[in-house]
Amino acid sequence: MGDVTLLIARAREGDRSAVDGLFELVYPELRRIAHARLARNVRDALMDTTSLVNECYLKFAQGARLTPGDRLHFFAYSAAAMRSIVVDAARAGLAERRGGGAVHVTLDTGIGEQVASPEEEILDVHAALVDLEKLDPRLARVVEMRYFGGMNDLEIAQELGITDRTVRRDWEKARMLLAIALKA
Amino acid sequence: MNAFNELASDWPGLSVLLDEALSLPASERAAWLASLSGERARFSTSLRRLMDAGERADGGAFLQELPALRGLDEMAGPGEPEADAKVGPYRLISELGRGGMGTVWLAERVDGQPRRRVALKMPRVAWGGFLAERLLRERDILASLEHPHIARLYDAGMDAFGRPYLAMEFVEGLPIDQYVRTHALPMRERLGLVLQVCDAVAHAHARLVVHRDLKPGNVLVTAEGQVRLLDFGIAKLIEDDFAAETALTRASGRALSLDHASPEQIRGEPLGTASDIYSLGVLSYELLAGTRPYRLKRGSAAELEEAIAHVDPPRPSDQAEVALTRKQLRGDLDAILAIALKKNPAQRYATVEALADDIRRHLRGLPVLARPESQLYRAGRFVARHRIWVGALATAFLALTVGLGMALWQTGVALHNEQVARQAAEREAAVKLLLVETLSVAVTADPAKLREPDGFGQLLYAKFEEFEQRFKDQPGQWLDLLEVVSTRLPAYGDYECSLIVGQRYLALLKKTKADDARVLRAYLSNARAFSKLQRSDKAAVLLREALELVPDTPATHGERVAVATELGLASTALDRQGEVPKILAVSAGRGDGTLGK
Repeated sequence: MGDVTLLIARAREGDRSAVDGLFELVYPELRRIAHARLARNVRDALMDTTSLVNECYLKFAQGARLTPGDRLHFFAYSAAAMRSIVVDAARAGLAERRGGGAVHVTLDTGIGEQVASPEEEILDVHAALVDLEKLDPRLARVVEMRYFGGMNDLEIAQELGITDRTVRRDWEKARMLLAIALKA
Repeated sequence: MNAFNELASDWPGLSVLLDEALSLPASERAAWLASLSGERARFSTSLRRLMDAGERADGGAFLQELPALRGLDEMAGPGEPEADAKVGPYRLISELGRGGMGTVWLAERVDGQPRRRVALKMPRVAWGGFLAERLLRERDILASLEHPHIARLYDAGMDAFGRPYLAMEFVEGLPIDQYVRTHALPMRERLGLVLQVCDAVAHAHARLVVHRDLKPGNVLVTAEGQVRLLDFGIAKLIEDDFAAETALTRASGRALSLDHASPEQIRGEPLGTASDIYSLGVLSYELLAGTRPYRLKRGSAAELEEAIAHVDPPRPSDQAEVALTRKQLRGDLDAILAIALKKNPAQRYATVEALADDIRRHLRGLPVLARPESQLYRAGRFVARHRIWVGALATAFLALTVGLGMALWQTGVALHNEQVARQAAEREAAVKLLLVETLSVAVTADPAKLREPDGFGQLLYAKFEEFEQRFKDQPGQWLDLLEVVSTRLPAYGDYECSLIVGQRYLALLKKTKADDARVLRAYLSNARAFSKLQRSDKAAVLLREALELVPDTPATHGERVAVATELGLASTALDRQGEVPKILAVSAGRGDGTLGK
């Protein structure tokens, strides 16, 4: 697991393959942890994505010389892996329900199709984010880190080397764009 | 296909301008947007769209956090409802569907009450903590909607986790548009379905409940061809949850499905019955012509909003694909839908009943009021002056709205010549105008007032004062209004106001030498108000006066009997039962015709 440090360093230098390498490393581990937690089936209010990423980080940090800076980078790159995990889970959840013989009826009483079921919302955001990456990659990255990675403004600002004010504006702009995309 | 294609070329410029907007306090952004000039003004449409979307998004917790996923943290709270789970007094049987609003389950009562099957709706609590509270407050009103074409709301409440639920009648049926297509219904039967919908909406409007989200998905048709409207008043219930802030109200208003939204709904204005009439127009258009009123090139929400607000829809007959349908729509139905779809609410049919009546006229081959060239349209000056707003008001409206038909209408039955008919029509219209205006004021401005014990009476009285000025030159109509107000107010528990108006009415009647029966009715109404106020003594004085003033003739006999009966009651209340036989003898036209002292 020593390569995490190296991969992070190379990714920071803009090495695209290192970013992919990190994903390949983190994704299966995150998945394993998520499964393990579900298998334990305990009543655990903290069982959320942030906590999953934390556990994953601890796993990797044990065998590597990760600096505090690396920790932040790790979370930032893990956001993409977390996004995949969440999107997979959403797809699985939706498939299960649709296969489960649920009848499809109209039930929007006005509050609108704007917000779908959790699964649908996640899949919609994911799809819109793919488009947003083409329009403005940084906005998409901010959304990924915040929405899927559970990072706060300050962490994101530090990771991207911009002010937290800028992060907040990016976030607002991204929300406007996504609101339009998700409504259409 | 990229969701942001339209914005892509302008994005760098837009992004910079958005940074500028976002650095301003939210309250100053609209002014900033309006002040853009020169090259920057080019971006304002897109900017507005983005900023509106942002505001809309603020209405919910849009993207604020990753939604909880089943399988990831379902153990943390009550989680997703599942079969066999108990929600309040209901046991969930199977999920019927889910969507933005929440989930709907087929459920049954398990607390010893009759095992009724219901559709149990569980709105997302995330939409606002006040929802549950409002739900409880409003459920009685919604539950009072008892109509064969309205799915009943049986119950509403909160379960042990504080999640609100609504128990509705479980309806098995097809959305009305699908039903019409599946059965390839001929025009007449489609109109029959529309009339059923109108009937249901009119019933709700009479109880001051506005639907606000009429669309095919909310109108089911059962296998027996019976219409059932779903979710009456619920859109408003949920929407009101946001009423604290204008922006939020707009946000939630916008969240309504746009296709059937009225122009005022698009503008985020308070909605009255006229908005439902518009939506009914869109729905009817769709069912009759087979297509929605607005055909869009791009199909974007913004384009649709623009069309609803500013573009007159094409005639349905021009839109229909089948030649026969085009022929059937041309003329009457084109005109009827055009009125229902007027941008200005005041130019639409004033009531759903009026819309339904025009459809019925069309079905019977009578001239419809929607067509300016029709004889009926030209018949009354009042009608001409106030156009459809008043002219098309149906007689049935009052009966529905206020619950009682009135003598006024009966006087219209035996009319012989056109002039008398016109006068009666004008009076009728004036009365309706007062009621309609009072109701629409109430519905849009002060719905809470209506729930106060004498709230409607107060509103009616306030409006009535204003009408006194308006009808200065129309004494006949003014008298009718006085009559209506004085006889209607008691129904709302407001006897004092009723008496104030009633005494003016009576004095004016006597002065204008109105017909005797009418005078007697005025006496009677005032006396009843006195009785209700525990002033049987005053009631008795009035009633005696009435019997002495008006002689017994065939024309007045019925009224005299009523007055005498009332007097008998008052005497009894005053412990003067001894007078009763004499009173009754007088009323029956026996004896010497006087009551003595």
